[in-house]
Amino acid sequence: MVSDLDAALARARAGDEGGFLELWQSLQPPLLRYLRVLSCGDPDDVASETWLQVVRDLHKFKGGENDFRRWLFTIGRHRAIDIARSASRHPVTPAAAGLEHLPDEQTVEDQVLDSIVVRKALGLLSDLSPDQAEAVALRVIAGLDTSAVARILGKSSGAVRIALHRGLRALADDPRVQALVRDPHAQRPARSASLLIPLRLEEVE
Amino acid sequence: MKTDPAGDFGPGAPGLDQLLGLLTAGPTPDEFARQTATLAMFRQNIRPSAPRRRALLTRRTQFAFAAVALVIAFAAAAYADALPAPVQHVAYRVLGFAGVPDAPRHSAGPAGQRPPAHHHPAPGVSASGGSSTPPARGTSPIASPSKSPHPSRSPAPDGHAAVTLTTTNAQIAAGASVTFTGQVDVHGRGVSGVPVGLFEHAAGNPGHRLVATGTTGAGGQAVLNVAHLTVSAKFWLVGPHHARSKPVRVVVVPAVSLGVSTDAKRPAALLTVGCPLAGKDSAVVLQVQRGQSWHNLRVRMLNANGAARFAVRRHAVAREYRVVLIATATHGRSVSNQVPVPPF
Repeated sequence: MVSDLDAALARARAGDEGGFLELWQSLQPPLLRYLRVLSCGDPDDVASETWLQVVRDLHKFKGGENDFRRWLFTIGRHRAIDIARSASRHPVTPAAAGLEHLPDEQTVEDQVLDSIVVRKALGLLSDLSPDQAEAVALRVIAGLDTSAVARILGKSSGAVRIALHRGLRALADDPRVQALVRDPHAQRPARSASLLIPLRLEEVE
Repeated sequence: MKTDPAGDFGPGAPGLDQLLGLLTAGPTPDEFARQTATLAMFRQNIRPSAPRRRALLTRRTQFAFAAVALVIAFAAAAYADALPAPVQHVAYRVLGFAGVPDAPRHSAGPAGQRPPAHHHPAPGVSASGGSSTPPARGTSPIASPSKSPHPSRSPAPDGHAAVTLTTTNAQIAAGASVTFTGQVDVHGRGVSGVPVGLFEHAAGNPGHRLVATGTTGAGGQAVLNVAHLTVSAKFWLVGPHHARSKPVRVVVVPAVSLGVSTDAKRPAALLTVGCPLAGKDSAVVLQVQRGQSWHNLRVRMLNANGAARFAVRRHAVAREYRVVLIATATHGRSVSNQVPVPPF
């Protein structure tokens, strides 16, 4: 069965702008959030460079939606690492640091509020150890399966499952995460069901 | 079996559901801030995959074959003297060395009586004007006697009318007027007393309409005015025998205003964009000034009233903002006034 993104991918490969736009609109949000977890400087810039490389090499790409998703996040990770290396003389501000001082009161526009609460959530994820944060981000935000996450991270599937389990456990124990139950702004169900791919029980047990 | 990740921690993991919901929530507007730039990047860098390129190549080859076939058919018709007289004459001028005959009217008369060659590119030759049955003298505006003593101002019944249209206002503010100058020439000389009509095809509208009429004066000129233009449009002038000018495009640039409102107790400022003449679904980009350059922040679509709002955080120092209205088929690019957002 061909998914919508498979069809969009085929159109984009043929040079169709509409197909590419569909791909970009589906995958840009998770890519940006993943890059924010990596704390790689300006995630917008890294994402732009990632998409540039994707577009340049798209004619050589072969595979379906899942392969493309893994390819995209692999490129994004490499670009983030490259940029972090080039900026190694300048300390990179962790994604969470700039968010600690965000106002708690309601801002004037709901859309801005959405951005703030999402970034706060990403900040909580960024507080995990790097391998746990990245494993959770790739599994939950990027929607990749464990084997794909393992290939991107260059680890075994078992190591990824352990990192996932420990990461989710640490988040569950975090009092700031527990406080989200009482935060009215956090009562926002996922609006994009495709992004929320349930984890298998065995992956975290 | 699949399950919700937070469910693995059961009721003892309060908040994890909310956190995972936030991490996978739908896109926020700022995540699409670079959509326009990304699409531009795609256009510049995409290389279609191999099958597509082969398909393009095939289409190019087919087009080339079709073009060659067309040229051969044209040459054959020219040798057979089967083309309409004006076209046959053109063929004679191009292929005469190879034996293509001239049109009867051109070949019959002495060479000195041929109309002088002119270089007006406008499609000023109507089907009837160039045919062997020209309209009777007096029925056409061109054929009416001119008061000018210059003989060229009295056009021949089969004269080739060239209609041109120009304007000095290729880009105007929305709601402003635009002035056009039309010119009707026959054999390179302006013709006075000729009625002309100015037609408009507004962007986004399927049809066209007559928006102004006039009569050529001395020198064959007619000045026409179109008031209160709010949408970019193409205009062309129609003269005698339906001769029409090349279209002239006028781009309308709507004014964009940007206002700011702040509350001393709140760390956010509200920027309000007003652009009532841009129309619904036009996009505006919020920019912030850093040093001498402007950086894109977010994109919003204007609502039905031509308004949009941006909420920005206030920082320790004041920052300057402005918005840019992105050009569309119906209007040009426009930049707002810049406003400072005071520090918090």
